[in-house]
Amino acid sequence: MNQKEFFALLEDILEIDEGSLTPETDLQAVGWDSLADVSFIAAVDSQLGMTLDPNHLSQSKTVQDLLKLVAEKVGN
Amino acid sequence: MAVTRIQKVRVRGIASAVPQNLLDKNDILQKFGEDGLKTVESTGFQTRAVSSKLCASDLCYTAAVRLLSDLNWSAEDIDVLIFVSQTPDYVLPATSAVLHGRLGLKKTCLAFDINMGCSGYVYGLAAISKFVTEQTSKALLVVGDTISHLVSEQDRATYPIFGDAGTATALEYDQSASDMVFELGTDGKWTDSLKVPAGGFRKPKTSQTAVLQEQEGGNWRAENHLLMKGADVFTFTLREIPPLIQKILESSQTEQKDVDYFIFHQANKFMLGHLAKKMKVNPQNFVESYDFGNTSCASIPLAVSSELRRKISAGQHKLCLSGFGVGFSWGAVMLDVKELVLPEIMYVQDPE
Repeated sequence: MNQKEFFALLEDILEIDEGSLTPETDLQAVGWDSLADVSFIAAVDSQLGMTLDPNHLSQSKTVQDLLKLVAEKVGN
Repeated sequence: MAVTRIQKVRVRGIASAVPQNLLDKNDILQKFGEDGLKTVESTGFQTRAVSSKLCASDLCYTAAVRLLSDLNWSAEDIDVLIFVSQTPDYVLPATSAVLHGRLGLKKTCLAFDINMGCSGYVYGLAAISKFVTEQTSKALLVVGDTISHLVSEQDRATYPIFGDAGTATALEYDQSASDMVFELGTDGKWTDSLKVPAGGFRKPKTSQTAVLQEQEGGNWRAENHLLMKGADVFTFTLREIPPLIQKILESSQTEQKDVDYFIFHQANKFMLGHLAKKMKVNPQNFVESYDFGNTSCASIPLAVSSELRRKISAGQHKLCLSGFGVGFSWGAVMLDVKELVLPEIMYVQDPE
């Protein structure tokens, strides 16, 4: 998965238009909620083969923070 | 823990009872608007069986009476009674004693409670099976919860999910029964992830603990209410359950293809769908039941009553049951059932 695909994945979870997100986007501002948390955990598990630490996820404030959690699996 | 193997005990029947009152998604729409419907879509629970007036023991009692009748067992026959629940009738006495009295069981019948949630059915089966011998040959495991009594009406993370149910499972000494194989585990580092903070003796209920406070995501909850950190629960499940099932297949020397039905705790559709996909279980062999809500420890036997009644009441079938949740705690059992007595689900009216 590359970064573009990763952004598309997040846009899909949030049900917002493609190209809406930037690394600086504040998650709360785009409606990231507990349902988005579990959808993200599920997608990362099935598509990247990683089980995220929920504590790290809850500390994430921006798209860039989410990207850091999966950096080892997401290319440029 | 290491594998536990139970010999010469057979599960003879399972009965389930739910409140007659079924809430549908209009109730969710009213309370949470469109966001609530998104939750319903994800959890799969189009309806939930809920009663504010019935106790878990009332539902279990109804299930037990029906099961005894269908088995042609009398109250005098029962040697062991275990009640599994997190929503007992009283702080004391144990609800198993209350049920012992209501069912009219004999004085030599031992009875005790186990306080467990979503893993409780598997733990209950393991515990009760240990007491079944040639001398104490008939046992009744009653398992139920009314978690709807513990959720805040303003918490979208819990209110749309939980329902109430009570079940009864009959077990009997049987020399010809094949072994039941159990795997059980606990990770006590996560007790804060699913919790009712107030109401025990660590933090007794006060007027203060009843005050609703705004929580994450615009949810409102008091300390008397159930809190559930969905992300913690979901990652725990992904981390522990696929290896658990792998382990039980190995310890019972069973191939996945030889299991007729996998019946997991009916947490919600999103979680079950993800687990089935991850473990590559054929959907035909994977039981899902979304008519009553997540009924905690009762969800496995309730799913058997609801989804398998016509499929397994005749002949012999291999089942893999797995419960997981609050604690965190988990368990799985591989067992064979034969001519299983499975009455239809009973709907219980609220008391006047």
